[in-house]
Amino acid sequence: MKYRYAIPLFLCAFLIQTTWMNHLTFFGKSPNLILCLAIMIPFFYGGAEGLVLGVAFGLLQDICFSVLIGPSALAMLAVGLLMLAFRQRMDWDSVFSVMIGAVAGTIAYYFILWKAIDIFIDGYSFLYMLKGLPFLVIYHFVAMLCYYFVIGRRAVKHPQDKSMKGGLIHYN
Amino acid sequence: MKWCREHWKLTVAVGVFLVLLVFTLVSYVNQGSDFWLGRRVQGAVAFVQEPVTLGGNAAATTVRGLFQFRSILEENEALKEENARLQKELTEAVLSQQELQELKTLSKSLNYVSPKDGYHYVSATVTAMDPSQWYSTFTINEGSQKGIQKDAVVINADGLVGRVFEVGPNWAKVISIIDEKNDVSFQVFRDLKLLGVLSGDGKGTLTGYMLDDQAPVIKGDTLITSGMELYPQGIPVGKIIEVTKDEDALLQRVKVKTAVNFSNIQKVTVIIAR
Repeated sequence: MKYRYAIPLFLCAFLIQTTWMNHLTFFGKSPNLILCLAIMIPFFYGGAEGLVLGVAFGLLQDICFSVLIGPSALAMLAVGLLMLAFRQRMDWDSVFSVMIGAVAGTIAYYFILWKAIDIFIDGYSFLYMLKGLPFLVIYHFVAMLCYYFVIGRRAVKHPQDKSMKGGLIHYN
Repeated sequence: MKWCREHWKLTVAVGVFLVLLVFTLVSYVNQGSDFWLGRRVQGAVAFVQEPVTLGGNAAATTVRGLFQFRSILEENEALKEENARLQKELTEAVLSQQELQELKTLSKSLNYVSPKDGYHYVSATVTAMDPSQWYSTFTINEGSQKGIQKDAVVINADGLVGRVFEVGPNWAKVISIIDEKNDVSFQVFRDLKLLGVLSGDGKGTLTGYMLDDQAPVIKGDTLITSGMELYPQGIPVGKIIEVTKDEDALLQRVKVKTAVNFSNIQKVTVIIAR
């Protein structure tokens, strides 16, 4: 994805995340839109854009809210690299891969962020972090799935595809 | 160098990682100190966030109004304000009428100025919330131009919210009491002689202990600030949800659910010492 598309997406995600998301909580949690983009863009499009912007917006998030500047950006860097590695080894254009990407990206981000904060300041407990994780994984999977079906999907079934069921075409 | 050129992607990734690690270390060492670039960035972000938040709040209220009667919402807001006012009055009334009289007589004879006269209040709107999902750090739309300083106490209609930990001309960052390891000294509202100390426990609640290990506190007791430290006296902190005896440390430990719902704060008041 080109920077001219990715930057506005990240900006919108950051603004919505920090301003409106407290109105859109489910079970006390809301999806992390910046993380969703940091997972999706490297995963669906490859390239360094998602990685670079993920790190930049992670840093912005730290500057705006955190006592420490860097942990979110570090976690975003790890997630971006992980997604690029996934893209190289997996068929990214399938729902199963999207699910694996969402689960791995979300868990990696929150584990690294929690650990990075925990090393420096006595932050939240591991169990407290784990408590909210299933909801976040589900939200991020749903968000990625929506993106995949609306914009991200590239493969279309071809009538000659052997795996396509009921693939008979009748010519008049 | 040749290896770096051949593996330039890995080299860049490691370089970025090291730079971020240095940022983290530097920010850890200089916690709470002013960072020029950070203040500029925060100021610019707050400038954009404020109208977006106000628009979002207005839209959320409108949407809510479609499902509920708008008048009920307004009535609810009015009741909240009245409740906060009455709670404050009640707290003051409980501070023993006789004790108060004695103190007033004493203060008059000593020409003493009450600490409550030494505060003024600034109302502010929450313009941005921390997206990390664990922390309840947020930004408000008032700053040093209105006299807000670092460590100013922040409350809302329900009780104690936290303190200001960074301030700009027209914004301030607030850290909540559940995110803090700093102690909050409290007294039990039912019996003001019962004192204790609380701090964030890393699980979204507060835990602490009573100064007297035999203090007759029970589940459901309301706690208010004692005024011994940073926080002025009489601000509701929360309710005790668990009391346990720590036989090894000879302490009576308490677990407290905060009076404030940190997931959806929109308006706060900053208490500023004159």
